[in-house]
Amino acid sequence: MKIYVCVKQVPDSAASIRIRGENRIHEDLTFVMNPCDEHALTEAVVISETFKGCETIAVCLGRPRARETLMSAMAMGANRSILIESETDHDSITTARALKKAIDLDGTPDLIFTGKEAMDTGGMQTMFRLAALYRMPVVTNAVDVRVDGKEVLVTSEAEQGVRCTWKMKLPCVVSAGKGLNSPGYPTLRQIMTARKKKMEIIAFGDLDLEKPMGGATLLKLEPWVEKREATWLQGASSEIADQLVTILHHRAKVI
Amino acid sequence: MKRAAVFIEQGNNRPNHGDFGMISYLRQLGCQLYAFVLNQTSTGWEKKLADYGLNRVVTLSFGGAPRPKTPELKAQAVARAMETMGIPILFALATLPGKELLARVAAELEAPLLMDCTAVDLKAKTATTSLYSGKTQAVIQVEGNHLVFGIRPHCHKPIKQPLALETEQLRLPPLPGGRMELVASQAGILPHMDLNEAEVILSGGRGLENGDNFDILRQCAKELNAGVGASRVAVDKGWVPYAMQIGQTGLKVSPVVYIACGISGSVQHFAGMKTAKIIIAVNKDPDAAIVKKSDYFTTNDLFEVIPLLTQALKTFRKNRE
Ligand SMILES: Cc1cc2nc3c(=O)[nH]c(=O)nc-3n(C[C@H](O)[C@H](O)[C@H](O)COP(=O)(O)OP(=O)(O)OC[C@H]3O[C@@H](n4cnc5c(N)ncnc54)[C@H](O)[C@@H]3O)c2cc1C
Ligand SMILES: Nc1ncnc2c1ncn2[C@@H]1O[C@H](COP(=O)(O)O)[C@@H](O)[C@H]1O
Repeated sequence: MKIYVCVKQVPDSAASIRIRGENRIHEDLTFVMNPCDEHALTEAVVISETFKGCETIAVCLGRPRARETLMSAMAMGANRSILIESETDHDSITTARALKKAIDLDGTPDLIFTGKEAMDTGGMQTMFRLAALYRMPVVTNAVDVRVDGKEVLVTSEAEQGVRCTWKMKLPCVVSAGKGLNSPGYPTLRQIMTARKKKMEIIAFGDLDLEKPMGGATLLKLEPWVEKREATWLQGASSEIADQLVTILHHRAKVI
Repeated sequence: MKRAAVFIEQGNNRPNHGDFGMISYLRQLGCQLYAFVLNQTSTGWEKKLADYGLNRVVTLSFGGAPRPKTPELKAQAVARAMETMGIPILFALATLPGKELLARVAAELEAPLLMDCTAVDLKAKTATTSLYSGKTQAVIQVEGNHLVFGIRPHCHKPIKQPLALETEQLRLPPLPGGRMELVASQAGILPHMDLNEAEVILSGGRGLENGDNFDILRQCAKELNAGVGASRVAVDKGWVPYAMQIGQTGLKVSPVVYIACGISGSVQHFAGMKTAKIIIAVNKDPDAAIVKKSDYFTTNDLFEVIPLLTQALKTFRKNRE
């Protein structure tokens, strides 16, 4: 059995984003593994430990610096990894095509894990695109995954905490939500072992992807400006309550 | 006039509050708006939406085969309907179910999808959305035979402009068998208003001190018809379920009013609510980050202010009756 886990390298959540030119960001930032992808990887490793001869392979489309992210993926338990190296960003249509091509060159997936959303430019769609390309079923925002022979039971969380359990046949795609597990920090020994694991590097151009049916281009990026002017509501709490009612009624018009 | 499809998710057999504003906005873009209906029984919501600019309701049928129930089959139905009718554009509200449906349709058609748009320009084929957890605003251009857009809830005002609603039946061939089967479902842990839909959200953080104290927010929320959210600290401490978490690793919401109680306003929390129209902070600390980034704030104790607000809302309602 082969489990492929798609992991993306993204700027650290605390990083302040500075814009360069029309549509790029300064990349002198701390980059980390996309948080949801940590859950995806952790789950894949747990599952692969219960199946003899099962292999977990982390796949990433990213800059050369994404080697670090794949190194952490291997420290967290992936057996090996594949980096599709590219100096530019790609939309999710091309990302899904590139991930599929790289996986196809490597082997036949029984299970593909992704995160439910890339924290930086994520559009919550790569998993659906991968599934469509593979003609596989897909469930998103998984909080529980059970592999049972040729079937998988995936519980996903919808709005308001509603949970649905879906049955799918392998092979399929599962996107991991935050409630799935709690990723741990790798130990020093795991980090050392990771260095001996194999990381394959493929140049994006060498994948020779067909032109997709559509695409998205980032034209312009601007910092988000807070246009708020904070007004201090002062007085006794009962006066403040009355002022709030006035704001909710007159300005917000919600009551 | 260009035709565009809108998908109206009807969670509780009615459209989302945000659909009215979305329809009003899309009408200004100069397109004919077609809503696809997947369920048999109409609840009369179509007429209400026509008051805001919906042109036509297209009821889909599948040659006697059962109606699609799973997100997979719903998306296939919408994609087939778009192809059959030659409608190149799809919009829906970017709520959780909306996002999933749009992404599945976009994948099916290999169409670009821009999520959580605040503005769309169909001539230039561009849309405005935010990237990097709301730290930047982006203009993105799309190309393709089909284009899909998720519209951020509550960012456009509903404007009445009644139209005579047309209706149409569209017969599609039966859909192929689904590949995901629902084997169990569990009711939501949140009996309250869906946070994606709520016009007003009251959120609690570490300042609430324990899970029971969230009742103070719930009582106030009842008067306001509001949803109740939380910071990650409140979730991590086990006071409230994760489904209530707002922020970078939780829900991203855009209510008209966001009332943050005992929340310091970390970057990560802001990533989930910075697009609220009006932010009100109830925080004892005048130096808390949320204070500077709010529209209104009070430094009085939340345990005083919120119960009094609940009272004041009750009085307000009585005086109006
Ligand atoms: C990768 C990552 C992802 C994260 N994702 C999220 C996320 O999705 N959502 C999120 O919320 N956080 C997230 N965080 C955590 C975030 O950094 C903050 O730690 C968290 O938001 C703080 O929660 P808080 O505001 O409730 O608590 P605190 O920061 O402790 O603030 C409590 C506030 O309550 C005020 N207060 C206390 N008592 C009262 C009272 N009686 N009346 C009035 N005010 C009072 C205090 O003055 C203080 O400002 C994330 C962090 C990381 C690293
Ligand atoms: N460049 C990438 N490399 C590897 N995996 C990716 C990449 N982009 C997206 N993914 C995967 O797809 C998931 C959803 O991404 P998105 O659709 O961008 O929100 C992520 O959590 C990753 O698992």
